[in-house]
Amino acid sequence: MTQKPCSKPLHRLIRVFAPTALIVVGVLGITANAHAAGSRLWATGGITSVNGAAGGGTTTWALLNGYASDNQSTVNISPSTVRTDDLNINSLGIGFDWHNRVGLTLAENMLHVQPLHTNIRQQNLGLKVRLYGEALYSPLGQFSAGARYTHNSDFAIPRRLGASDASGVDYYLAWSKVFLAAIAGRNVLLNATARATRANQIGLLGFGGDRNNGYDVLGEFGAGVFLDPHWLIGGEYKQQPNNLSAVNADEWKTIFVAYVPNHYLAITGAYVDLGAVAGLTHQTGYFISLQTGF
Amino acid sequence: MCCDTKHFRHSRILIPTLLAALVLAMLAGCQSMPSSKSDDSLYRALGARAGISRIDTRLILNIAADRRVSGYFRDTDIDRFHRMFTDYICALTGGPCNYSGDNMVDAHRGLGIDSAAFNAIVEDYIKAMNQEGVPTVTQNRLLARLAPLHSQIVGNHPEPSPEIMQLILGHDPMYRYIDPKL
Repeated sequence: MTQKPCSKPLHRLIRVFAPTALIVVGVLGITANAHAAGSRLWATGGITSVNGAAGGGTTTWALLNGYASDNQSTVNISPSTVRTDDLNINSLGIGFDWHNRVGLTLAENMLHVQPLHTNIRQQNLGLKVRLYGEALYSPLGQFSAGARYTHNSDFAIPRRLGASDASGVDYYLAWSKVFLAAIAGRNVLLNATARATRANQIGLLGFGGDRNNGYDVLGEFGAGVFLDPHWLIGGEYKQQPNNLSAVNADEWKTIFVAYVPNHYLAITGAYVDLGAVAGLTHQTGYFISLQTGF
Repeated sequence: MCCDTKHFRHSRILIPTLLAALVLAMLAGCQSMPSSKSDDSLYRALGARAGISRIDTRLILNIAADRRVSGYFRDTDIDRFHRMFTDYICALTGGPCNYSGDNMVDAHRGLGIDSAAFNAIVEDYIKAMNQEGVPTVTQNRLLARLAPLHSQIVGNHPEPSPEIMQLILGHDPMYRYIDPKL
């Protein structure tokens, strides 16, 4: 198929350098440790999404992973799992946040399709830059832009379903804002993200396809209410492109509860509705994520 | 860019964006509603001046124990700070107090307070309110009024006040053309 000439070297680069990068990030984490876990407030470190970027589980927020303030750096590690009727998606992400300005994330996802007894693995490398503002203090909120490179290393099935490419890049512009004492005295977090993508089911089914091979600009929205500084409940909605004529893709919807006891830990549980995935309809289930930060 | 950036297909983003904008407008409306000058409900919820004074005592003890920020207060007259800050919060929340100190920009000029230090103080303040049993809702309402101070206290290079510029430069109308960052 139309494998991009540049995807292969980039992909090889990631395979080779990802472990090295993990070690480097780990070492940076140890040095960053002197600054403790940063001093951003409340649950603004987000929960790491299945694709590694800070978000509420499935969508990407403008917030950066962890709690680094302007002179701090933080590292966080976040395993997560999605279980639906016929699918599992297990993820391990690691994020590095420099000065609450630049976020770098690496994540490995594995989709297990139970009826087919098959696994599809993918690697994500994400870069997010805070462009303007601060979610809590700026009247207009926080704006970030990012790109996420994903490589699907088990492309045989996606190819059979009509996907064009094993690798692809998503670009996004995200906005987040915490409204203090907004609803009945509770703090409210809103997120909106515009994502340019060719990814089929975040790339688990490859990129582009026979029905549509170009980029779509799609929306991701999330809202949450802080019951108190440690408990956040909310919901998310993520549009998905429909590039493959063989299998439909629906929007992803989640209702989540996040518990953030301190800056070092966040636990998220969610009810997820992924709709139709890879020809398996009505995929509903749960998402559990743990985020530890240093 | 390597990967094929074909023309973007039809965008399905419009309707959700409009919905989001609507929610946002409603939230913004909620936020700006309650702060009429004569509304002293927040002041009363904090326990009037005596309650605010107790919170501020806790705050000072928390700051003293907080290595991240205690250094900023090394040369501070603590009694005066307590009185001034209590007056400030009292006036900010609609109470019958006159705050006679410097504005927040002048009071923090040159101290090099960064976002991390600001957040640390806010954490110490939240801790103080928890110690005094202030409910979350009341805490949030007060934090909503304190949040705008971030840009005044942390602001990267706050411009010197006109008074200071006048002291330095007399009445030279050229002062407006001098880069305040220099």
